[in-house]
Amino acid sequence: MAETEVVFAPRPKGPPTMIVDDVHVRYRVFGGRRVGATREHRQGIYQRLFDRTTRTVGAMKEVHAVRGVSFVAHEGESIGIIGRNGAGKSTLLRAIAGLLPYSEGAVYAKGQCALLGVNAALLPRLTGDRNILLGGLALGMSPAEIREKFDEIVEFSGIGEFVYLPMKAYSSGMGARLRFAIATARVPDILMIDEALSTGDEAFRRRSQDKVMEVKEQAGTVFLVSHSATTVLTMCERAIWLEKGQVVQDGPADEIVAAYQEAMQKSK
Amino acid sequence: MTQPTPEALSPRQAADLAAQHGLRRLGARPPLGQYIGALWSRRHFVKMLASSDAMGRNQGSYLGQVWAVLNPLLQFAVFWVVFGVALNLSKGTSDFLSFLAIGVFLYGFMSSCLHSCATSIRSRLGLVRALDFPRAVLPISVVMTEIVMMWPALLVMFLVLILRGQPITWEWLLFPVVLVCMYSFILGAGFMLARICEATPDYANLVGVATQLLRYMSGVFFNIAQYAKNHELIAWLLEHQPLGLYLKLARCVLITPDPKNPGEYAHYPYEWAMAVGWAAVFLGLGFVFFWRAEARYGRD
Repeated sequence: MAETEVVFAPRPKGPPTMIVDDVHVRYRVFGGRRVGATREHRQGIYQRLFDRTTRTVGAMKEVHAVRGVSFVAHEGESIGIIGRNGAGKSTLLRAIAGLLPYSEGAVYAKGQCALLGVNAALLPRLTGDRNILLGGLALGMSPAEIREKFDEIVEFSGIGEFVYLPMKAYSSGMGARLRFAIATARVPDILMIDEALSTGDEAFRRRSQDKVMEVKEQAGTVFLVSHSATTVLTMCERAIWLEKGQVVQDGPADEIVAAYQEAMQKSK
Repeated sequence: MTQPTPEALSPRQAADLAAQHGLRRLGARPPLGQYIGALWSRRHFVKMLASSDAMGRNQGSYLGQVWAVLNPLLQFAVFWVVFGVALNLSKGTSDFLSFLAIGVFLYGFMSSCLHSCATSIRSRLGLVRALDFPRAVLPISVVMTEIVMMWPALLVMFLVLILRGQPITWEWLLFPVVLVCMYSFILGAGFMLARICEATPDYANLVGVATQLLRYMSGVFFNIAQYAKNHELIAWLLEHQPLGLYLKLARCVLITPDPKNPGEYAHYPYEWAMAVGWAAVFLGLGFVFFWRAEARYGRD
């Protein structure tokens, strides 16, 4: 196995903040049957009728998205997760955040996880300030604590007067900013960012980088899913390369990103 | 290298390492006591979720919140025309209008609770996937929304009672007891439905059929005792199943019987015991049943 080849970052690591042990995620997809457009042979009318029925009745498929992923994350570490579209990156992140049930294995974590995804809209019909309140309460903050941090959240998100409009009126970048501000209002022990930075502008990117540093300084761990090699290289010291739901390589970010890019070049 | 290669850990070693550093297991069901504690600490969240939901319910129409009163009124009018006038089910029931108002509005509350509980998790999947909170928050907040939404209907109901000349008696003080029992029962049933329909969404389609069936079995617009005279056991069962019982007790305390037929709205202590019993049993069982699947919500 590849474990023996794993090279660790030279500096000594802090105690573990997250242990992921052989995690598998399977999920159900309803209505997933082939339409049969590729079938070339002609069929009788009964056969076709039968096919049409079975296509829409009991059409449930199980997708095995994450197949046995293990790693240990440490205090002050930031880990980039890279891989092609559909490699299981987002699914893995949701599962280890405790938001998507996994079918096998175990995840152990210290303290509170916060996950930022692109489409994790809270309640689009409600105004931004209500979303701040609801998000904070859902994270277990008290109303007083939220009131205290309200201005800070609005300021950090930089959306200004838009905070009094329904969230569905926001641009995707504004939505991402507000969600980021809510999720990090109370500095989480483990921060997971799933492509959430890609919709923001330069100012937001800088602010979120500062936040990432803050989490790391407070002995937290940061996970980052990104398609941008530069983002991973600037924000992470370790990277995990996923392919078809399995870990291909796990090690220092620069080496893993280089190996990944090389593999992508070859497969073109 | 200061640390052992983490990838080579066995499940046992991983668990030991986690325990050593005080890590908690994610995606596992917390103990019941802890779960209730977590739920209690989110009480403001439940309140906020329920109130914003209630506010959003009648948004996006010209008449806005007026619909909260208009809807139950119209519904009541339809039932009165169909069952009271056209089919004449009012025979032998004194003050049929009051009888019908109580039935329609209370049953309407129970049936919409069951409907929204059935989809409570799926309709908030965005929230479930984004934030980690005890999932029991969802059915509870839906029932709270329905309780808030019910007030205009209750107002209309009391208006009907007063316009029909029903005297306000000391027994009216028992009505809140009926309400509290009904709320607890429906929340318990809602917990069960929420889990079942989350695991197999197909059942959500049957909720409509079930509430339709229960509408007839609970005597919403006719007096069960009147129509099942020769089947006393069946009548007794229908009147004492939870939904039927809450309607019966509400009518008994709010409607003063006709002096010619003083036994019509009689109620007995054992019926009150049953009302509390149903509420406690359903709420307890429903909550435990919901909690047992806590780690599985939000799959797919």
